Amino acid sequence: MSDALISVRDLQVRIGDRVIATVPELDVARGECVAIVGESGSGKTTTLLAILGLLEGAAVTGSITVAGVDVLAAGPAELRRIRGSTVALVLQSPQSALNPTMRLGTLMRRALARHGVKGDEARARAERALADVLLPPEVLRRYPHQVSGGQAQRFAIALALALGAEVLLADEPTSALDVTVQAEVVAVLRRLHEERGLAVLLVSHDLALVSSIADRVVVMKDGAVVESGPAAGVFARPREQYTKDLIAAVPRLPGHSAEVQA
Amino acid sequence: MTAPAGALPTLRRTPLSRLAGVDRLAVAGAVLLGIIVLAAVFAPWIAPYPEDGGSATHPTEALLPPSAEHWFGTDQVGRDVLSRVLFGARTSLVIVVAVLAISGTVGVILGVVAGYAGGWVRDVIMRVTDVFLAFPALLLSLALAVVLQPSVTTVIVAISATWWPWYTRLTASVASSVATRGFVDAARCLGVPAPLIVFRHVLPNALTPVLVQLSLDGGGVILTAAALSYLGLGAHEPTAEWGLMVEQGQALFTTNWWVVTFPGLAILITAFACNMLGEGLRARLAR
Amino acid sequence: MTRVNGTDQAPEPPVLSAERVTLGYGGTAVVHDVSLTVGAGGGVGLIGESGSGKTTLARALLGLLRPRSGAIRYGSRDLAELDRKGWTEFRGNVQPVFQDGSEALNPRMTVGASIGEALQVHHRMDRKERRERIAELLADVGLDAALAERRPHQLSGGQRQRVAIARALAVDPRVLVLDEPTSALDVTVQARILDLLERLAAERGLGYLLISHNLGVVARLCHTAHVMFAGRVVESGATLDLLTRPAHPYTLALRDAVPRIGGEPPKPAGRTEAAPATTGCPFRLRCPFAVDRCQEEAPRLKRVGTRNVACHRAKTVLELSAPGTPVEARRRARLRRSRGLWRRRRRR
Repeated sequence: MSDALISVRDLQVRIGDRVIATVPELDVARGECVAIVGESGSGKTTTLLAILGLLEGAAVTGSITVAGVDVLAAGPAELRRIRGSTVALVLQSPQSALNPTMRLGTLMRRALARHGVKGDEARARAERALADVLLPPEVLRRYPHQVSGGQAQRFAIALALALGAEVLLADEPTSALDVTVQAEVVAVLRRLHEERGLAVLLVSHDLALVSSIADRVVVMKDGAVVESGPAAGVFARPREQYTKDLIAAVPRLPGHSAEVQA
Repeated sequence: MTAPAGALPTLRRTPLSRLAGVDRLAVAGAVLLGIIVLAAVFAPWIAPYPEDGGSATHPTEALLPPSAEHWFGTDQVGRDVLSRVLFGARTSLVIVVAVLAISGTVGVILGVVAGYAGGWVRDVIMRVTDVFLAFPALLLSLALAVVLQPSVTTVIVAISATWWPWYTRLTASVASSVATRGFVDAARCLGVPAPLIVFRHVLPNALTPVLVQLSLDGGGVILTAAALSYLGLGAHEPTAEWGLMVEQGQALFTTNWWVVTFPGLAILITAFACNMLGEGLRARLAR
Repeated sequence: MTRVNGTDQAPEPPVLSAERVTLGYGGTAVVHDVSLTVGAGGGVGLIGESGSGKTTLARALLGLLRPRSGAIRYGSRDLAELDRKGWTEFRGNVQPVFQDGSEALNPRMTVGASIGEALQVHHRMDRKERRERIAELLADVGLDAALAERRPHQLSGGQRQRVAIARALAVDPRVLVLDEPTSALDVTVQARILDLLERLAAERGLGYLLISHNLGVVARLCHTAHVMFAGRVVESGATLDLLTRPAHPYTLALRDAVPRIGGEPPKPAGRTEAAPATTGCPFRLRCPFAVDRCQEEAPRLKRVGTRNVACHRAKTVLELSAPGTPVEARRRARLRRSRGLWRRRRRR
């Protein structure tokens, strides 16, 4: 647990009297890909936002430790320090999260400057990060609306890398993308995960996607954790009925998998 | 993905405090307007000297300052100012309701037709609208009023003729976007005839911004009507009308301040109340 | 999914068809020279991603958009030549189900009134009969009759979609045009809606034109599928065939990009930002199989085996995607390693 980048214990999020999410235990270790999977209203996004201390108007109890920092006790300055540099957030619709009046290059330069990285060092980091996500350097001259959804999403990942993020928190990062574009973004994520040890905490409703890329999975329903464990195990031998129902509900594709079926 | 409203806490600040403030504005405006409307409706019964609202004159009691018998004092011919202000509310009410009803109806109907039909129909309607909008409303009203005999009816006609284009323009743009929504397509696929689509599907969903605008405009109508009467083109003696009363009393401002001040305040407060209601509605509906 | 494909009967004469249709808004053409047919009692799938023109084609097939060239036919009649009576008949037989239930229903009308409107246009009924029929229709789609008094925003996404289906069924159509009917729904809700659609098709002999980017959904309900790219049909054929052994590089890319439970991570084909080419084959800038000929000559839809494919290299692609090739063998070996999962999967 001590080398876990993210460690959550007994997390509970409440608004007034209503309990929105309850997570007894969640760890993301270095180089691990953990996915929270569930349908709408399951509390998965809430959990993600709580981990970054981004929930306003809600009562959050429990213990959340991110890169050694106690998120619930930390002050805004400390939270700002870890957000963006150690922990980065990637959201579903990147173009709405990016300032439309700023070129991508400017955006990256400013973000790096905010964390104390300037000049040549900043330029070098930016170039390396773009190469890691397979984006050409010209993309820095463009505005957010001039790049495609997939490119914008990869740029968001590049930003996280340039800032030195060790763990990426992603909320439905590919749901708004075409499936072929999703495959590209996922491939980038996996390479970074495998080659650079980038940890990923992924929130998604897409079980098939999660099953094919996550190391561990947490299944949530109506604000509670239903089942969790190694992804291969949970998908191959689900214990809870809800997990089984979820898996059974995914429409199957015919193909060579149908032939392997006994 | 659907989620029950309010289930997820958002990243933005929960607007709990702002909520009450904005609703308070709308409620305050509505209450104030309600009082004014009630005062207008019941004027004959609550006015201390109801005959002064009409053609009675009392030359011996002219220009008395505010006192226990005359809360707002009396005017140049001895009429109780309070009573005249109350009766003036009736006149103003009639004007506002008539103008908004006429211009609102005409404007909205033209607007939804233009928005849904598109093509040359829309072009024709919008060009006509543009022509009317090119004239400053007050000038156009003035021109019309000069041609017609001065009266309350003239004021109503003159202002309505210049106000409808705003509603058309507003409604047409909303109606255009409503016309692209799924349920309108679904109605077309069912074979629902076009007029029914416009009135059952487009109109109800295009009304919200118009309602906001209508309540905001109440104040504007009152001010314009007062201006026309002030210029002698609207109500005339002995009708009690606020604008007219301001015109009659303005020369006496330094010596008998109450003759012009109370009608002036009435205009101000009513216009303000309409604005409060309108702003409150706008904020509420925008949420 | 095998049930629909397994009970494959020959589709009846087409109720709805597009004949070499070109569609556009303003100056640009969005759909080029597309032909397809939809019959009663069969599911036809239209697979495509954003920008493929599938929604535009759906609107044309619903009579909401006039083609620039080519014809949309109801039965044998061209929509452009229909008289009033013909339009009423067409409208009574071809109905839409859109993606977003909250958009497809008038937010100011109760759900019952929305369904009632459909009944009013096409049937003569008094109020009592109408109310009963609305209750019947709601029951048909698995909803309680009491929901008729609610407004759309008071219902869940799945319930709204069922209401949209009920409204479409109210006129007793022969064909439904469904544009991404389950994309906005949770996966368990989606499964139930698909069950419903399957049941209705079997009970009423309905035909479907199902538009979706989700290959699994299309595989479940449609015996035939057309794949669209940049406004053109690039491949068509029996769904099971097409997805098991794609003959067009785009279909292959799509199929490989879809993640599967317990399967390999999605395979990217690369260069998805490349805009469709304006000369030669539109897919060539993204295509790993492209050769010089692809730039010089735009491929036309040609019969290859049991399929229609618009690709100069279709035969190569077909060979590569067939089981038994080294690529396939490697894939299957990897899958066999997670054998436990596959054993668990039962036939549905």
